[in-house]
Amino acid sequence: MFRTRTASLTTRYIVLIVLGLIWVSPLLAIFIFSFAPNQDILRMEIFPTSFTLDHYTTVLTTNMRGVSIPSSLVNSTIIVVIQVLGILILDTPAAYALARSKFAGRELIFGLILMTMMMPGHIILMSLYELMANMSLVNTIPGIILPGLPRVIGIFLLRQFFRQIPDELEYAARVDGASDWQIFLRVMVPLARPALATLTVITVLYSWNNFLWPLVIINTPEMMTAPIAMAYLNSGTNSTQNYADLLAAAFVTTLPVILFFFVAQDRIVQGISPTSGIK
Amino acid sequence: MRSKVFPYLLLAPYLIFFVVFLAYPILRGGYMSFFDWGILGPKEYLGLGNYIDLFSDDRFWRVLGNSFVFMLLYVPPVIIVSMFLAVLLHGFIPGIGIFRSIFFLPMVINVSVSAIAIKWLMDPQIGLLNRFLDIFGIAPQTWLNQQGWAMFVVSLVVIWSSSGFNIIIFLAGLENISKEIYEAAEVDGSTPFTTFFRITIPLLRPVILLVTVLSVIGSLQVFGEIFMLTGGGPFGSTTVLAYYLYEQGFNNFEFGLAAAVGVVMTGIIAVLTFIQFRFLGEREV
Repeated sequence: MFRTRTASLTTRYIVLIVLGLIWVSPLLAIFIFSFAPNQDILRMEIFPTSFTLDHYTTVLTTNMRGVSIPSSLVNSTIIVVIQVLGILILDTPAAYALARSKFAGRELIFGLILMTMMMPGHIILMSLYELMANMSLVNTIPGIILPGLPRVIGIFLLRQFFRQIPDELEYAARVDGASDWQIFLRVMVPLARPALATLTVITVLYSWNNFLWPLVIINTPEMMTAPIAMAYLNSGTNSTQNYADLLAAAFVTTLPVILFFFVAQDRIVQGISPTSGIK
Repeated sequence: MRSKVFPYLLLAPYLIFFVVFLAYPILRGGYMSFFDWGILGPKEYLGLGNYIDLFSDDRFWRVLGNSFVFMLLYVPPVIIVSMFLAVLLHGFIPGIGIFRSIFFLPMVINVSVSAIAIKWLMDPQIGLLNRFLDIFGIAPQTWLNQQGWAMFVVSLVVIWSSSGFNIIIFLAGLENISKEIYEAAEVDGSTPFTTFFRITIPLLRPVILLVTVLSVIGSLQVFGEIFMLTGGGPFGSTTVLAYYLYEQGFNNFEFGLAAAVGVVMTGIIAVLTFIQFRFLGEREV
């Protein structure tokens, strides 16, 4: 009995290590070869022959085909911050109303909101583009930000949370003479802090990694977000060019999100688990 | 005193954004699909013209076919891989946290970055993959430039980046299976193999259904990996629905036709979701 357990534990570790190595290999390869001379890549060396920071100097100080990676990181950061704040400010009161107030049309409104969650995002690309063109927001930061604000996931997540808060808390506050606004702002919002943190984390990741919409709405290098800048650089790269610069750029644009992942991993897991509706 | 306006005041800001940037564009997308709608110039009402054009075009049937090929190459493997990894990552063994991080990490990595790595590693001239395969005597391949292989590589990348999400859902499901069932099975002499197929899988059925539905929906919307890795090629063999829509909308500026593709996508997703709930959902344990 004990022996089979040890054997199965060993097997489990071996499988995890082998698969784990395969899983990290693309990122590890980017990391290692971003410090290697470009000839190493062209000569298909399995290990770099020397160490250089040249590619990072290029990425951080020069424009690569008109794209500055640092300014794309700034664009991405601005977008993430505004989208996170915007979504928290819009979703928190709306989700609270949908969860805890009784009013005419509540189920209808929530039903409509949920329905859009099941639609693929692609059907709206053309009409959104037209709308942005009419608002003169094509190729602007607000043009990237605005369509991301009514994301439904936050409504869903926060509504679930507010529904779980016991009614007694609300009654107690009401007996103490608190108004609707005071109950919402002083009692409910502070209680919702864990759910708000989870929503923040999910929104940061969505916002940073959003690909299709920025690709559609942005058409000049200086407005590009980090992922679009990478797509742009990738489209013009072939094996004769400086591949190592591209790898360094890839690593620079990924490092923020990797660091964020390690800080926020538990919240990410929480954010995904409840959406599965499993109790 | 509960105010009657209060909930509407709370909802109003969100609803304004919801209507302007989500609900209205969806409806307008549907409306567009009945027009010859260029980015500029007059719009011409076509009735079902765009839909007739789509379904009488061999290329569109091929696009639909490509989407289903991708679904078949992606959905079953991602479910099996994620479930397998979830079972390995479930429960505590020393170092499990590191392994979880490794398998969760890809879901936060942007498609532009993972695609750059894969394009390089699978490059016919400078890719390290061919070099490794050479050690085992396998002839070099031009992975992304070969019909068949290209879609396979795309599906591998999507499996890599989406398995973390699915593992988390499976882990939540495994968490809910009580330990006593496993202990009882062990006492009865059940091997890990039979325990997995006789206990774990049946009890995970609702979770498997959920992951299947989400993966099918996701597979029909795959875009970034196609855009980055193949550009729909070689010879249109990886031009899937979402990529075709993008091409028609933003390379050819055929907004009406692209919107019709969007409506077809929505319809297919709705039908498939309904079928899966109907046929897989009912047999819940």
